[in-house]
Amino acid sequence: MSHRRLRQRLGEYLEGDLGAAERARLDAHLDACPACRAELAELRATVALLRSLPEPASIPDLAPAVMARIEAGDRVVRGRFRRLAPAALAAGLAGAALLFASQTREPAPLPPAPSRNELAMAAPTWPAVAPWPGSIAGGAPLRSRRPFAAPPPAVGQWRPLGADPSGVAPVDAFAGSPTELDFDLQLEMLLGDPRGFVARMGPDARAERFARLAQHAARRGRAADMASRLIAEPHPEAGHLVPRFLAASLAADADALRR
Amino acid sequence: MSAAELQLLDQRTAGRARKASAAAGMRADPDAELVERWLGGETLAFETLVRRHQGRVYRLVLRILGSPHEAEDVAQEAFLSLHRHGRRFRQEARFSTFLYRVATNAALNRRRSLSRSRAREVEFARRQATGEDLPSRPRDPEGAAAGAEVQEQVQQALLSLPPDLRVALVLYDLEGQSYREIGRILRIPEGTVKSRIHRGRHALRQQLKPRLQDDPSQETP
Repeated sequence: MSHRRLRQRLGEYLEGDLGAAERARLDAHLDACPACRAELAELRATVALLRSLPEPASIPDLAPAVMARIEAGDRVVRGRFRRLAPAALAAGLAGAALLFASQTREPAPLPPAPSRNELAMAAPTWPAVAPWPGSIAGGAPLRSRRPFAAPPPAVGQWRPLGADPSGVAPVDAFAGSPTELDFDLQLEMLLGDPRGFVARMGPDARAERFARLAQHAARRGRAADMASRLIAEPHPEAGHLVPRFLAASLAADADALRR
Repeated sequence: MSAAELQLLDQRTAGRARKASAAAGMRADPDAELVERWLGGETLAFETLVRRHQGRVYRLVLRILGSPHEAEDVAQEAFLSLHRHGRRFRQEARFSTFLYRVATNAALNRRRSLSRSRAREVEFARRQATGEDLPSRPRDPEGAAAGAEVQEQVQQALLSLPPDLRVALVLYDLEGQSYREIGRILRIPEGTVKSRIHRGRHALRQQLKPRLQDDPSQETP
């Protein structure tokens, strides 16, 4: 075996990962090769330095904050249901006519935007745990996507681009008719994980849904900020959203000027 | 509930889990019972899990991110994420494996903004100035300064590695996880784990080369 090949195995040699024969071969090479000896010594010293890193001076007690945030999140979610329940009841009682009326009446003034923490808590169905395909923790290198393990979906079983091939059902974050809180959540999701956000967007009326999200951002006065943040951290999958947010921001500005 | 009661609960459930595993004749997950109770809706069981594992989660995230302040925040996020998505844990692996995965993802998903890296620089300067985060204060001040400086160099070198290599090194050399366990945590083959560890060490060696060449202690037998 050549010097180069043997040198590449120094790491395994150090960890004792080599078989007896290979180890003997490398031992013999080390006796004869000062460069490899020096490299092995450096590797050994590197590992020693790394392992000598001290334990953290103190470990913070995370439990109180975590439990408080969980409780706060529960409150947000429960509050949301309380708000929605009468509306559902009213719709059920009054039937289609009332529903029609509610769609055509002037939009109500926006409720105050919830805090970031409340938003994080109110998103119980957003599955962010499993790594996206191609993520580092997921193991596949960023450049080459690992092949789908599952057979391709049958015709009619549409699966969004980039959905987790491990079998977890994709969530359409836009199902139903979104409330203001849903829109606020969507903005946070978009900033947190643009690629995942776009991938999980259902296939129906995508453009219209994006447009409504951009309009919501404009109503909140956040459209320009959203656009600049999406530009600052470019994600090819979310890049086409930038013009939408910019347009919504400009339209809102023009509106304000007219008034 | 008081800390003492929590600890008692912790010990009791761990004991029950161990007995159950002995009966089943297999190496069971010591967290299994708590996890089951948490997924059954017991908030207290989740709190016990947080207290049991917060040290390792914080340590892992701290090594990946480098900043204690950021690590505390991300460790909290990891537990919140765990709570939100606990149903996805189907005992296909040990709970601790799943938790390491969630924490690693939380650390890697933390967005790197300009303000954060600036905050890190500021914190680095402050820690250097105050000598914070040292394991203990050695007797001679010169030695102390040198030790702190070396540790800071090593931590910075670690932070400069690509995330996949950094995570592999942290899990293997600092957390003491096996190749197999790391493979499960990161959902990659063992061969890939080994290769990342070796590549990571070579990269770290390049970063620390000046230090290694100054250091006479590298002449180990």
